[in-house]
Amino acid sequence: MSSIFLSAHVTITLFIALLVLIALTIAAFNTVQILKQYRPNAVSQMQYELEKRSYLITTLIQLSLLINIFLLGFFIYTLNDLASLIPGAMCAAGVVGANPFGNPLLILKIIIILCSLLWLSLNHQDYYSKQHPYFKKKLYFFLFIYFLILLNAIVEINFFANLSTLTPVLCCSNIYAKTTTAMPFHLTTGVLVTLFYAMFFLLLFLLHLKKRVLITAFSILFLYVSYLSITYFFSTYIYELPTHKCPYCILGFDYYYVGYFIYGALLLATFYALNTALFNFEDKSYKRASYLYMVFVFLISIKFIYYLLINHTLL
Amino acid sequence: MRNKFNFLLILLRSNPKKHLGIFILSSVLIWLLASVLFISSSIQKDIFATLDAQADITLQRYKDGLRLDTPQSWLDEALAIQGVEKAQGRIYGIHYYEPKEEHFTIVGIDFYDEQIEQELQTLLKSIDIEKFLSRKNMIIGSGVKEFFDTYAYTNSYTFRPPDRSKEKVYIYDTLPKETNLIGSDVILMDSDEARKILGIPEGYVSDIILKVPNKKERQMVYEKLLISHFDSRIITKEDIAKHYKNLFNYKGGVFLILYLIALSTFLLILYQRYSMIKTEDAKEVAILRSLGWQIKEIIWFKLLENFIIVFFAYLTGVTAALIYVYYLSAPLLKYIFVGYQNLNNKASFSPSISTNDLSLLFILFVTPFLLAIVIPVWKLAITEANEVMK
Repeated sequence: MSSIFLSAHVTITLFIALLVLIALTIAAFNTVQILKQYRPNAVSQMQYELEKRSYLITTLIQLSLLINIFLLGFFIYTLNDLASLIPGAMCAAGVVGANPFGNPLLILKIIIILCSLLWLSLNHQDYYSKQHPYFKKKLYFFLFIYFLILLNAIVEINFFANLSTLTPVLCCSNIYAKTTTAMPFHLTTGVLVTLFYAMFFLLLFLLHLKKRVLITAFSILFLYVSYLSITYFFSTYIYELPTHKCPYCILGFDYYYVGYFIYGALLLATFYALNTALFNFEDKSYKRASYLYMVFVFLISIKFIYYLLINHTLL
Repeated sequence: MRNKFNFLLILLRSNPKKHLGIFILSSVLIWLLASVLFISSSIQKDIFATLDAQADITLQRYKDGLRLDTPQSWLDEALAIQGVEKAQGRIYGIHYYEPKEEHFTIVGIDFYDEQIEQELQTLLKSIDIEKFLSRKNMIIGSGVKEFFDTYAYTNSYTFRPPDRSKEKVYIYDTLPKETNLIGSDVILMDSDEARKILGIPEGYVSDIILKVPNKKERQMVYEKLLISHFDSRIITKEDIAKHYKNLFNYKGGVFLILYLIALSTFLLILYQRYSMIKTEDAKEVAILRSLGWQIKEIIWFKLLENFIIVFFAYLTGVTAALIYVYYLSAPLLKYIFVGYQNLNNKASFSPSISTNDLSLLFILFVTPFLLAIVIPVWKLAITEANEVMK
């Protein structure tokens, strides 16, 4: 067994993840039973029992999903902390890249968080309407999330078990450096940044017009473009170092944990955009999405614009 | 919302005995883990602080898996490498007192050398060097002092060097208590005297320490040293830091795993305790439901009630741990980390409280607590009002 399991952060992450999984398994088991037997119009003792059981499921899911959201931040923190144990790693980038499970795990976690937030919103909507129109929909949706969380648990254990404290890994400056790997799709920074801002304004426009299908597609695409442009362009301005390209270091203490706000705003904005686009609830959501996108773009652009104003040139 | 919260507080205040058992148990468990976390982070802080003041690179002669005395000629070779600012030979070793199986660390100091490590320099400021060197003197750590006092070496101690001679050395002074974690078992003396006692021949030193101020040059210096002598071992400061961290993770990790087993048991107890629905609780719920509360509201109300209890238990446990570790210096528990193989480690802890430790503790305790009681709370909330009130 590699000694990584003796790190307090890893042990606690896994312990809590296990408890959440147990709680959700109970919920999933009950969900399947309800889905099998639920008849919304029937009046019988059985239906009444099932309805009571749905309260348990809802509470368990809500609690677990809230914990999961909280745990994502903790997980990122753990990765940054582990960097001091793994030779060569200077931040989470090295740890995530240490074995093939790292990147899928992170992507999976982000998908789970987005789905969780959407589920909570759907549940809220369902609870406060008289007919419970989304009752079956939300249960199926939960089973999908449960499947993702199960997958997440398997990948997570594999990730930590294969994390060696002896094998050296690359640090972020090497992983994202121009010489070792070109940007995906042969992009150049100029094209990337133009694409980023163009997409941002397009999204705002779409949100204003309330084009649901287009919002769904573009908000997901924007998530990826944002990741790329933070990594290859905006981060260098935050670090004030042209060779330092890394999406994780901004989450560290050296940059006042600003990354948590940046990524938090982006994820929340994406959630609100998807929320309105998929379920079409209320006007407020459109507005919130637009505002949060603006906050996000403001947060990452401010240092870049500041640099431009002073030096009249790019880094 | 606010009314409900007020109601909750009134409820808690009117019946404080109801949750006392859970509160005390939780506080004790939190206290235990918090103490261990505080001790560990405090020691880590101290050790990394000492590490900062130490040499960037240590060069030793290492042959057949054993450390040998290093030739002094290596010192000039090391100094010739670009980037090395200072190089200094050290003389130190371990003196073993056979009858009691005790070890002391003898450190030789060249008092006229200006390149003495910073820490020692501050220590030696208060010493009159002329007077110290007038005869064979030594300065001892407080652990050594205690040992000498026990065996009545109040004035001097006689060492037996390998060449069968006798070396009587007088006790000059004791090191201040703040240096206890590393300095407890140390004996400081003049380097020539130390050389004689440890049996290190002229032209040799125990090892060589190098100062390389530029971090980026350390790797290059390391490689050049490695090429120049194949029978050498080179230890960098980063290696030592990583090693320390691994060691602490190991000690803390083993404790944590045992703790998790205890915590799991506690969760089972919680589950059992909450599963036994008392008529009192059932009545409370029944009244609330007949007043028009929904099941969902009751569940969250109960969860909030327990959250408040566990939150106060958390505050109590952490406060108790702070007093225990930093005021009482953690009797008993500190031996998990401090170890007993050294002569004597009467360490006191310098405060090091991080949000990291506090949030770690909070997550570890509060989330399992709430997850464990969800099902019992739900069972309580769905009990029929008319059944209870009959």
